[in-house]
Amino acid sequence: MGQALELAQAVRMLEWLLAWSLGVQTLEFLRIHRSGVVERIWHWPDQKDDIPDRPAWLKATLGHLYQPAMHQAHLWLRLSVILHMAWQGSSLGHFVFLFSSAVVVLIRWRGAFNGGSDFMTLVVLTGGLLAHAVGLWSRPELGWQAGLWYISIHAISSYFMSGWVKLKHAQWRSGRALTIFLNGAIHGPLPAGSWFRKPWLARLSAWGFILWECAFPLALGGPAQAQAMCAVAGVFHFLVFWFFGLNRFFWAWVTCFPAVIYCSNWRLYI
Amino acid sequence: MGPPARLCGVCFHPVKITHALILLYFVFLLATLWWGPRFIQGPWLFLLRAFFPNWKFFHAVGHEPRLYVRWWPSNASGEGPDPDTPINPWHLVYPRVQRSGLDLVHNPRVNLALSRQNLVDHLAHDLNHLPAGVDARGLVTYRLVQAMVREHCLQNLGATRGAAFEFQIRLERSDTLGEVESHTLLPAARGVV
Repeated sequence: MGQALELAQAVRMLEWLLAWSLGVQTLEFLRIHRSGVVERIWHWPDQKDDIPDRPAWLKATLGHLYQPAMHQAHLWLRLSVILHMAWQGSSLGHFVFLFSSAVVVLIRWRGAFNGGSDFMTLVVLTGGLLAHAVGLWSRPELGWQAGLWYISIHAISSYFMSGWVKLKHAQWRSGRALTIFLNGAIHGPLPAGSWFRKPWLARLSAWGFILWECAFPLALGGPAQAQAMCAVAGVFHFLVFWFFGLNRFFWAWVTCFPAVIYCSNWRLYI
Repeated sequence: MGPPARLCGVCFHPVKITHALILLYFVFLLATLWWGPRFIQGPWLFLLRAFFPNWKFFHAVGHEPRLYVRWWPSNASGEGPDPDTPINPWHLVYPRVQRSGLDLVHNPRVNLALSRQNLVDHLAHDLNHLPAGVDARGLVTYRLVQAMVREHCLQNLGATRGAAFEFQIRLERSDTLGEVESHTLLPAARGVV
């Protein structure tokens, strides 16, 4: 039988994984900005036309924040806050800063840099913010329970919805979509003799993913089920990284696993 | 924690309020999923769209935007092709990167390459929704893609400063064996390196 996670253990694991995930993202942003490509392509004087003119102070503030030196300083400050959180444990101040910082960085990238991983990172940051805000007003334990449930519901629904959407498409049910997406992936195209070109294997793999994603809510059946589901999810996200290059997805979802495993033991405290 | 507040005989316990707020939030999210894009409109909502879940990862096979580029050295006036130099053939700009296990912990080149393709996707989306008679050159995405093409010509295609380039957005549909259908969304936009 799987080991249940105590609240304090789940919170600390979540903080470490969040720190790691945000650290990976921040170092990548620093490297990208240092290359100068952001100023050459995502040139702020062009991009600022995306921002509504009113309120004027907000547009001016963003323009100031996105000056190259200021933005780099923001990213270094963010890295130091992440390290402090990993070392000392989180506070409301950590989450307020990291949440605001995430929003500022996302606007610099026209709302999203890496799609789903941006959203899942925001979910975890919002969960932490919720935990500390409720904790101020009530017991800290209640705050973290609310925060972990918030994260857990989002993580579980992300798998379920993703599986459900695939199930509705005939090309996924036939396995053809898997081969087509792998062909178009950043590390593609598939070699001529690739196993994923075999229709029976593509169909089998596609159905494996669909059924597992749709079954993910079963993770709430107990710690053993949650750990098994999260272990498969880890392999799934590694494959997504391997074939599509999406490393941020791997870390963003792994960060949610302590919340899912903690919430799977809901019978004990509800 | 103090005793729960009471107002008009209704108990406002922190636990109940927390549960109610979380429930309210998920009802809102469900509404955004149900009504979809109509719910998420406007410039600020576009910039803050990462707050709204979209779990349709690689969900449907369809027409995908692809960026094609070609360039030529300019003539003496800088306005047209040099008659003595042929125009280079169209070149597909699409991210293909060698895999490395270390990318799991530090992957700026792949993430940047994917962001470039996202720009192309956004330009295609903007072009599809451009009202009749509006010049595409006014789009932010157009200018960003133009800057991306300029950099690509310089860094990858051997163009020099002052050379002219053209780019196209084509919508291509593939099957398991490769491309099966293609049509042009943005015919030929020009710029100077």
